[in-house]
Amino acid sequence: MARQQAGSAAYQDEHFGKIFEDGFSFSGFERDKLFVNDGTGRFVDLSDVCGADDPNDGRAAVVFDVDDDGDQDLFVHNVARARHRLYRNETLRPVSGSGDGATGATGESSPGFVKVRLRGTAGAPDAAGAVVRLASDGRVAAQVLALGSGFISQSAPELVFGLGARPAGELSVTWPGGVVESFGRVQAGARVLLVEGRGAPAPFPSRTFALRDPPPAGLKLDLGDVLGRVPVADVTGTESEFDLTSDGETWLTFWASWCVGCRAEMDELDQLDGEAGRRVVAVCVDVPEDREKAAAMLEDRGVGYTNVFLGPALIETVVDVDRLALPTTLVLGADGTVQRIVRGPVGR
Amino acid sequence: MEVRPGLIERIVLNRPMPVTLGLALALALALGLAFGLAACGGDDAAPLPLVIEIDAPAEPLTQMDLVEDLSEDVANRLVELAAVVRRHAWEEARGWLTDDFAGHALASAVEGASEPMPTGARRISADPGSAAIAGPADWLASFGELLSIYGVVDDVSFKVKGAEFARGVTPTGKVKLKVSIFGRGSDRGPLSHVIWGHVGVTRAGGAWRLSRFGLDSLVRTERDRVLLADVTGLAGLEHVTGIFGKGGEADFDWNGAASHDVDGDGLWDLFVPSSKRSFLYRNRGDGGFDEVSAAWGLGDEHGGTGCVFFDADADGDPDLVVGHVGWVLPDGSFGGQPMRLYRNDGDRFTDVTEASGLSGRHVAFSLAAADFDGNGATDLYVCSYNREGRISPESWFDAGNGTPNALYLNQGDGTFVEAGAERGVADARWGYAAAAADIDEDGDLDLYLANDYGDNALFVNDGQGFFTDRAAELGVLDTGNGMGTAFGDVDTDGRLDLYVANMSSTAGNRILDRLLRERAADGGGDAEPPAGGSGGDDAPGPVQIGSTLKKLAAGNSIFRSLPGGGFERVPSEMGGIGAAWAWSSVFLDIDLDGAQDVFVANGFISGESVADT
Repeated sequence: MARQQAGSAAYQDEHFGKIFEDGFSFSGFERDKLFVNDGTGRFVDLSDVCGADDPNDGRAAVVFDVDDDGDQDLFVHNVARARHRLYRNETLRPVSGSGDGATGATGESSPGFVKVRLRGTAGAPDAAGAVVRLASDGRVAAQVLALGSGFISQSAPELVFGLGARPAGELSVTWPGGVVESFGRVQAGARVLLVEGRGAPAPFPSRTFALRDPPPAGLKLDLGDVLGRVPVADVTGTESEFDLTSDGETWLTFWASWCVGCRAEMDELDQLDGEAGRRVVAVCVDVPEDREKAAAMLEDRGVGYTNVFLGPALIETVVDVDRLALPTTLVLGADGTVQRIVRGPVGR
Repeated sequence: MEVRPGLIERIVLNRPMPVTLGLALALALALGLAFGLAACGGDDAAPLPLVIEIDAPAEPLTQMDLVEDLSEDVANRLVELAAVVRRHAWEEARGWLTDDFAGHALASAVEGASEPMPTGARRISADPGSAAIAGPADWLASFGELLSIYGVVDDVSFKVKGAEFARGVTPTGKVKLKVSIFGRGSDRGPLSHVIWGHVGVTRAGGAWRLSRFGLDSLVRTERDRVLLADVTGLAGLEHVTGIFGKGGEADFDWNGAASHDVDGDGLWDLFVPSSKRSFLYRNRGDGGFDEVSAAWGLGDEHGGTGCVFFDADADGDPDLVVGHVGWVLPDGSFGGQPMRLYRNDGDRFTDVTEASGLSGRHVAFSLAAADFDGNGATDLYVCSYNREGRISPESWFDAGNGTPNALYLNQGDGTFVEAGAERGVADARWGYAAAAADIDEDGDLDLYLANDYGDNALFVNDGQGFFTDRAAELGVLDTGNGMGTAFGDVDTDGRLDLYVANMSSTAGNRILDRLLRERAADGGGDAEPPAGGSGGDDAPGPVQIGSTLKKLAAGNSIFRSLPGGGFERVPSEMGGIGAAWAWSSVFLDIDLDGAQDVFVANGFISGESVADT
């Protein structure tokens, strides 16, 4: 194959063409990064487990406390595909039983925070460039009010200081112009407006609101949607219709033979099946060549409930099999209405 | 040869840089390589080796571009394997292994103790020396076992981090491989594996196959729940468009965002410009947002690049400036779009660009607002890039042919006069981002500027709004393709430190590693990256081209402010810089422990295919 010089127009055209017309990538699918400070100035890469390590191509990133609960949320603007991403910080979120990855008991007291807004009087009202310092336990944390930073981004003009377990801190401001003003001691949970020259913080009201959890990733329906007759496959791949309405509850559980969590719930599901008019219908999402293995596994385990296999029609309407975490169970009413979604193994 | 690096040169970072730097590398080659069919040897019953040994080729290929082509070839073949693995299609995966394959079985490596991480995350490292050696079927089964603790695998990636290939008719090679697995456990907690290994590869039957896998490290990271939950859909912010390059989606460096309280209700709203349109999301206070750009007078069909809210007319509410790409044609007429200033009228915005004097043509990206001249009114600094794709930077790291940045001084009444050149900040090195702070604590606001194709600038204010670039003496030149910047206190000492996001790429690093190794072997150049330090990064001379190249691909930078003034580069062991093609970088305290964390938006262009060009 003849090769062209790197700087040549033909070479450029070839590579432009590959990206713009043929859909190639360059430094693509690089996940966004979260580096968490361990408190000593050393950063630990926790991108993999942060929940916001989107492989799309991020550009702007904005920090703001969108639900005014005291922890900082994040907005990211991507170049293509899912363009706008809003991430809710789960640090101060009450433990809930239904979040997808947002569940879990903490059992510890929540870390404290101080929220600061600024207003200049001697200088410009925006007070851009003002530095706020919060001193507690011998440490001083500094933040600057930036109107524009990062790349084509502006975070909300509100500074949030974490206090960890410390109950309070001392606030001071270096205003544009260089005047340093002390605003005294503020308690954890304070939301304060600092007005230049006033010397004392002015509390501002909280606008905190509760938020529901997002539905599980990969599930194409939500609570209240109805499933009636659905096409499913048997072990040979032959499709037929399966009626999900019945006289009682139907527990529709999605599983795979390779999944440790799915194997863990089998006995529990088997006990639930037939109890109080309830039936269990398992939908195995294994690749076709593994269907026999999955069927044999159920037989070995002595499972009595119905098992079917995932066909194309269910993928169209109910699950995105690449994104749905297994196991996931839909609890359906007699008429097929989705009444509850169980994330993870049942019976915990 | 005239060298005109442009977009495409950054896309093929590896190839033009040596040319740009005048290194004696033969890049334009017409090579014929006979790919013979490798003999298929062995079968499943072949005895397994006692150790996994993958010898480096005795007679390696040395033509760098050919090595890189083969590396990409292997990388792209492994992209397909990743998809197969994700589906747990292990029979299909056999096609990626030779019949006499042998390797360390992943799940057999004995895990050590759980190491506590910040935020309660846990990291568990396995001992690579404890892994059993398996043939092809067992090796894949062990891979499956490793994945069985996942409830969902969101992504598997195989990245070629280095490669050497043998000369000869049967292409074989030794590849340094990073395998990353991301997903959630059955209990829905986030879970990942990062695996480093060396693989022997051989090309047989027209496709690359693995013949050996030697495990170097295997680390599992997990947490009970995510730190950040994606609530885009619930909040009503979902906006999905096509693949980059399709349907006119080609605004690869646009897509800004700014947050302020536009309606004075105490909740943060969001303005989101892009090339096709802009969005104004009003925070309803119940978890949802309403998109009100049209009703609020921001339905400009030309969208925008970056944006910033500030109180231009000092009436107590935030006004909005939206950046655009505009230019002056050779005949003096204007092309493209000007920036726009929108006055906040309480329930809508009104375009006051013309009356405000903010109507210059710039290739505007990041905007930074602050009162630079100390007259009590907020001014605006505009990072003006150039029309990439139409104009090529004249150098990779010393280009001066961007359009000059602008400084609009607020006259106190919401009208502006442009004074960038007069004030010493009309930098033309393809500026992408800037941030303002008083770095010398003398009471006025200084300005750090991240340049894409030039050293960065630290404009120090003389107190009257006249600036001198002191980046070199203060140690923050940060040679490299600067993309974003922010000030924050990384060591909680009460002083502002500096974060700079840069561009780096896997392919670029792979090439540079090889290049520097070769140069070191030749006794030419220094193979070590620059130490940085308060003396600053020296301008590249012939001896330092190697280190400059390395710096260009090294990633992001953190500079710690020193008690006596100036900055020093934080050593890479302190972490926080290992992003790739990085853009916006923001400080936040994700876990409210009092120490500033960093989030970095990352990645250049993800096409329809995962394969790189």
